[in-house]
Amino acid sequence: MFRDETTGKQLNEPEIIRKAQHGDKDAFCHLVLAYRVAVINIVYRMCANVQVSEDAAQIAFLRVWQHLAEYRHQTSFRAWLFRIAINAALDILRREKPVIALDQIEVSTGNSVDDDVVIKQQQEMIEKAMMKLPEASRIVLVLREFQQLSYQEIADALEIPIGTVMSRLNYARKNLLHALQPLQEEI
Amino acid sequence: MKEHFEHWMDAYLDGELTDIQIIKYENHLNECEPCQQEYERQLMLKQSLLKVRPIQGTKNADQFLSEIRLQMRASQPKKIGIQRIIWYLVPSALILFFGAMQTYAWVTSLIELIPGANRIIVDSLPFLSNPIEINPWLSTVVQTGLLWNGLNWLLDWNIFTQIFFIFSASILYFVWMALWITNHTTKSNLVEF
Repeated sequence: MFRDETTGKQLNEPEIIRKAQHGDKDAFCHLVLAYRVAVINIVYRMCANVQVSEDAAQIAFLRVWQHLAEYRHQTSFRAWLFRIAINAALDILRREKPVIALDQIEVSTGNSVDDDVVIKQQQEMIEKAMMKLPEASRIVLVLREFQQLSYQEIADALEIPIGTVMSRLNYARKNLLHALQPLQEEI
Repeated sequence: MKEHFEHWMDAYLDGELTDIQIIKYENHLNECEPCQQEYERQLMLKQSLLKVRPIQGTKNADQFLSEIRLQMRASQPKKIGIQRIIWYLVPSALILFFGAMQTYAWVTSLIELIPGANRIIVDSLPFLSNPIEINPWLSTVVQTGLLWNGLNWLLDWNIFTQIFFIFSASILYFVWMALWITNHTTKSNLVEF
């Protein structure tokens, strides 16, 4: 939890954002740490490249720093931040066009190398199936399933109507279910 | 509502339905076997997706942050954008303009009540009167210009121009506020389908 240096009071997220908007770099760094993994993962699901994801995440956070004054507190900060991250990722992907090698998707199980070979295989299968989804549907699925954004927040982040969010999510899930049928039969 | 409430499945799983919609959907789910099967499959998919763990990146948090800090020194945050100022500037300018014109109307109508006051003011303001006296054509040009631009009503600020101005300014103001509201608030909740 971030504390105000002058009052020693613990601040909640809107207060931290306000401090950052007034140029407090420590408050902003707190936001960076809070959202670092989320932003890296969103970009990673778009390009399947850790290096590119980290670069895009850093660019996104710098853009957020530069444009923080434009953020309006009526909207979700997560949605606003993720929109900038997605745009930064798209810019980098357009410039660099990394080749998505499905065979080289990096998987982290959180366990030791020898453990859970089956889990790792399943995870690989899921990730590969996700990478085969169209980008527009995949990003909606990622924001919903991995970042737990509401439909409204996804709509705000991607600047699309809620109806489109729902249809893309439905399409992504149907395709994923079809692709993961062998895995589901195993379970 | 569509048969099998197909599109409600996702919203139900994602907690996006209203209380009434949840009751409706659960009633349907209890009676509909194909939907129950689909629901089971969707639940399993959600469980499968939970197995995908987030990547942590190659840099640790401190390194990631220190690189951002370095670049932050070179790039200062932008101050409140001109776009945000314009949102407040337009309605303020409308109100100020109306106030200025109204004051002008009151002052001129008061002056007209005093016999001979017009001549005294014109004589005491050489900067205003001289250009027109020296160049008599100037008055005609200015008036023609205003007439041509449709702004001649500004010189004759009476009750009709006031009503007209208030009416048009109100429309402009409400359109502006509607734009402001749509731009500054989140959109409505889940749409019915």
